[in-house]
Amino acid sequence: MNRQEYRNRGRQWRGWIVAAAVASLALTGAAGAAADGSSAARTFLEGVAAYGEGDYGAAVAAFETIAASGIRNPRLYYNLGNAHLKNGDLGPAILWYERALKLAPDDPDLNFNHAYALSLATDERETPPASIYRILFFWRHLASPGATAVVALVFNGLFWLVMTVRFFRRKKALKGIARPLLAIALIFTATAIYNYYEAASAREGIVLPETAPVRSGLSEDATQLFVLHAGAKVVIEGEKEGFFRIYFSDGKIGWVTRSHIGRI
Amino acid sequence: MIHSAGKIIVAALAVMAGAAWLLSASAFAASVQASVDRNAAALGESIQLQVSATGVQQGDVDVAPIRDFKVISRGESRSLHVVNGRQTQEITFNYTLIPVKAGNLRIPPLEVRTPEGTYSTLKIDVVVSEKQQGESDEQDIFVLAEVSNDAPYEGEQLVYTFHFYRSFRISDARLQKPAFSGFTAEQIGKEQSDITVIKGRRFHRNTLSFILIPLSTGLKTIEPAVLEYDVIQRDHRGGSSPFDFDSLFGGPFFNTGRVETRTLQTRPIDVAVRPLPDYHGPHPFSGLVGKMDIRAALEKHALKAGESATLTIVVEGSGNIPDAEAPVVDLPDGFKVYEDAPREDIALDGNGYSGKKTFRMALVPLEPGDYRLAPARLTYFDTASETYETRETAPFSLTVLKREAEEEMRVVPAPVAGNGPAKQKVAFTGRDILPIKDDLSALENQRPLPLPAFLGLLGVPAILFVLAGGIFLFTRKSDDPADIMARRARISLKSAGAAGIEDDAFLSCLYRALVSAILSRAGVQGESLTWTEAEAILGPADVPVEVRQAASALLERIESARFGGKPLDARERNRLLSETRDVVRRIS
Repeated sequence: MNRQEYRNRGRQWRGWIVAAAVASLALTGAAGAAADGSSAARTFLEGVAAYGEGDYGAAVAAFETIAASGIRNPRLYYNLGNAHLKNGDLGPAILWYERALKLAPDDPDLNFNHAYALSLATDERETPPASIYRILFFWRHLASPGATAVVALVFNGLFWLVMTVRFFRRKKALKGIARPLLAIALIFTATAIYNYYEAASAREGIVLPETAPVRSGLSEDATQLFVLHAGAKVVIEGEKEGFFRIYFSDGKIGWVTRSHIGRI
Repeated sequence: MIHSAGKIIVAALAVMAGAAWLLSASAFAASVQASVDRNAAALGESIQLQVSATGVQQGDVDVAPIRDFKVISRGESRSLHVVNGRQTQEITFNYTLIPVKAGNLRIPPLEVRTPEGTYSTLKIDVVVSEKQQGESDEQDIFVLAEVSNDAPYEGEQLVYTFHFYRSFRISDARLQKPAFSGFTAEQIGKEQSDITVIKGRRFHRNTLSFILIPLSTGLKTIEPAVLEYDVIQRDHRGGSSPFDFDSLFGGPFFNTGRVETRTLQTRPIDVAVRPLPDYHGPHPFSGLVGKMDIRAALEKHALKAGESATLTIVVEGSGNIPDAEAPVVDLPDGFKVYEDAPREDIALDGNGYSGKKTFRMALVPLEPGDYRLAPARLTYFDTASETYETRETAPFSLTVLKREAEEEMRVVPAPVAGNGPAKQKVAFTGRDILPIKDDLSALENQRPLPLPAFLGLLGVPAILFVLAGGIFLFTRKSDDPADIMARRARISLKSAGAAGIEDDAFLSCLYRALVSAILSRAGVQGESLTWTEAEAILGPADVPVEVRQAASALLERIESARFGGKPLDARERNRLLSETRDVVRRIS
C-alpha cells in the first residue's frame, strides 16, 4: 500500500466518523423534538376538547401554555383569540387576533372573527394618520412577512441566475428578463426589510382590561385624562417606571399602567 | 456590687426600649381626623375640609353623609413622615364645602375605608350666617343666574343664563354648572364676554346660556352654579388699584402677590312647571309646544298610474321643533307611500330652538282616477295664547291617468313561481364567531427567518455570481497566439521529459517545443520552421545573438536526429532535453 492509498483510506474513515457524529446528533435532537411535540400536541388537543365542551378558561390555559413554549403560529393565535372571546375577555381576544393577523393577514376565518371582536369594542377606532411608509408599502398587507421574504429571495435568486447565464453565454435575449426580475426583487426585498423593522419596533398594543384609565403622569394619583376600554388599539411611544406612554388618536396621549396593555 | 448595678442598668434600658417601642407602635397605628379652616362663614363663602389618614397606604372617604354643604373634591396628597427612624405615610383628602343654607350646620362623622379597616372622623359644627355674597353694589365680583320663564308649561323651552361680573383681574375661573335635574339641557353657543357698566362701575361680564326643556310637571329647583376662581392677593407695597386690570405690569411676572382660590355661587332657582291643559280637539295633538306652522306642496297634480309624486310637508316655528314627527296624511285607498328621512334645519340661539323640519314622501297611485287629498294638519300648544292651535295645509287634487298600452307591454313581468326565486341580498340572521382550528398544523412553529439569515441568503447568489465570474476570468485560456504557442512549448517539453517515450516521439516533442517557443516570440501560430526561418524570426525580436545561434543549431540537430534514424542513447537524450529546455526558457 503506497502513500497515496494510505491518504485515500484516511480520507474515507474521516468521512465516516463525521457522518456518524452528525447522525447521532440528529437522532438525539429528533428524539427531544418528538417528545416536546408530543407534549404540545396533547396540550393542544386538550385545549380543543375544552373549547368544544365550553370550558373556555381551560382552553385559554392550554393554548397559552403552547404559545408560551415559543410556538409562533397564526392558527394557534387564532384559537387563543376565539377562546378568550368566548371566555368574555375581549381585550386579550383582540390582542391574539392582531398577533395572528401579523402572520396571516389574508386568513378569511381570522378576518371574520377579528371584525366580530372589533364590533364588540367600545372605543371607536380612529384611522391612524397615513404614514409615508404605509403609502409606500401599501401591498405589504396582502401577504404575510414570511411569504414576502420568500418571494424576495426567489426573485433575487432568479435575477442572479439570469445574470450568470448572460455572463457565460452572452444571451442578449435575457436582458429583457433581468430588469423586471430585478425590479420585483427590489420591491419585495424592501418590503421584507420594512416588515423586519416593524416587527423589531413592535410599537402597537391592545388595551386588555375592561377599562384602562389614561393618566397625565407616572403614578396612579396622576390626573385621569381619559379612559380606554378593552380592545382599543394604541401606539406605544415609550415605557417608563411601569407605565406605557401611549397614543390613541389625535390629541389623546397619556400614560397607562403597563399591565393594562398587551404588545401586539 | 458593681456587677449587680450593671444588671439593673441593662434591665432598665431594656424596659425603656420596650416602652419606647410600644409608644412608637401606638403612635404609628392608623388614625384619621377631619379639620376645617374655619368654623364660621357666610352664605356664598367656602370652607376647606381636610380628612387625614395616618399610617395607611390607601383609603377612601365617604362624603355622602354631608347634606348641609355642596362638596367639591380637591384631590388628595400624600406625605411621608420619619419619626425615630420609622416611616409613616399620611394621606390627606381635600374638599371645598359650600353651605347651602344658613344656620348651625354640621359636618357629620365621615367614614374612611382603608385596607387596614374602617375609621371614623369626629363631627364638626359650622355656623353659617345669612350675609350673602351676591349682587351687592359693593361687590367687585359676583355671579347671577336667571331663567327666561319660571313657570313654563311642560315641553316649553326656557333659557337659563349665568352671568359672571368682575371688576379686577382673576385667573383660572372654573364653573360647575347645575345638574339641571328634571330638564333636558343644552348649552347655547359659546361663552360670551363683554364689558358693561353698572351704576357707574365698569365690569367684565361673561355670559353662558342653556336651553332647558322640562321633562315633567311640578316644582323643579335648579341648583346653584358654583364658580371657583383664583385671585392674586397683591402686596400692599405696590399700592395698586382694583381697577388696573388692563395694566401691563399687573401680571404675575411683575407682581409679588400670592394666589388665593375663592368660590361664588348663584341662588337656587325654583321653576314651577305647569301641565298642559286637557286637550279634546278632533285632530291628534302633535306634542309640540311653542309657535308652529305647517305648509305643504305636491310636486305634480297629474300623473300616470304607477308613477310617483313627491309630497313635501314643512313644520316650522320655535319651540320643541326637534321633537316634531311627520304629520299624518289621510290618503285614499290605492296609494302607496314611501317616506324619506326628515331633514332638519333647526338653529339654537338665545331664544331657544327655531327652524323647520321637512318631511318628504313619494305618493304612488296604483289606479287611475281623480283624487282629492285631505290637508295635512298640525295641532300644537301655543304658549303665547296658552291654547291648542291647529294649522292645516290646503287640500290637494291629483289626476291619475291610465298607463298606456304600449308602455304596459314594455313592462318586464316579475318572476313567477317555478321560474326561480326572486333575488335578494343575503343578510346575517345571527352573530357568532367561526370555530377554532383543531388540526395539529397549529403547532408548526412559523418563526420568521432572522434578518441576518435573510440578508445572508439574499447575498449568496450575488457572491456566487462574483466568485464564478472571477474564477472564470482567472482560468480563462488566452486567445493570444503568443500565449498559445508558449503553452504548447511548455506542454511539449513536459511530454518529452515523460518516462518511456520513444525516440521519434521524444524528438517530435523537442522539435514542437522549440518551434512553438520561437513562434511564440513572433506572436504567430504554426507547426514547423527551418533553422533559417527561425533566425529570421528571432533576429528582429531582440533575442541575443548567442541564443539565436543556439536555437538554430539546436533545431538543426533535432531535425537531423529525427530524420537520420540513428537511435539515441540516454546521455544524448538528456543533453538534447536539457539544451532545449534552456533555449526555450531563454527565448521566452
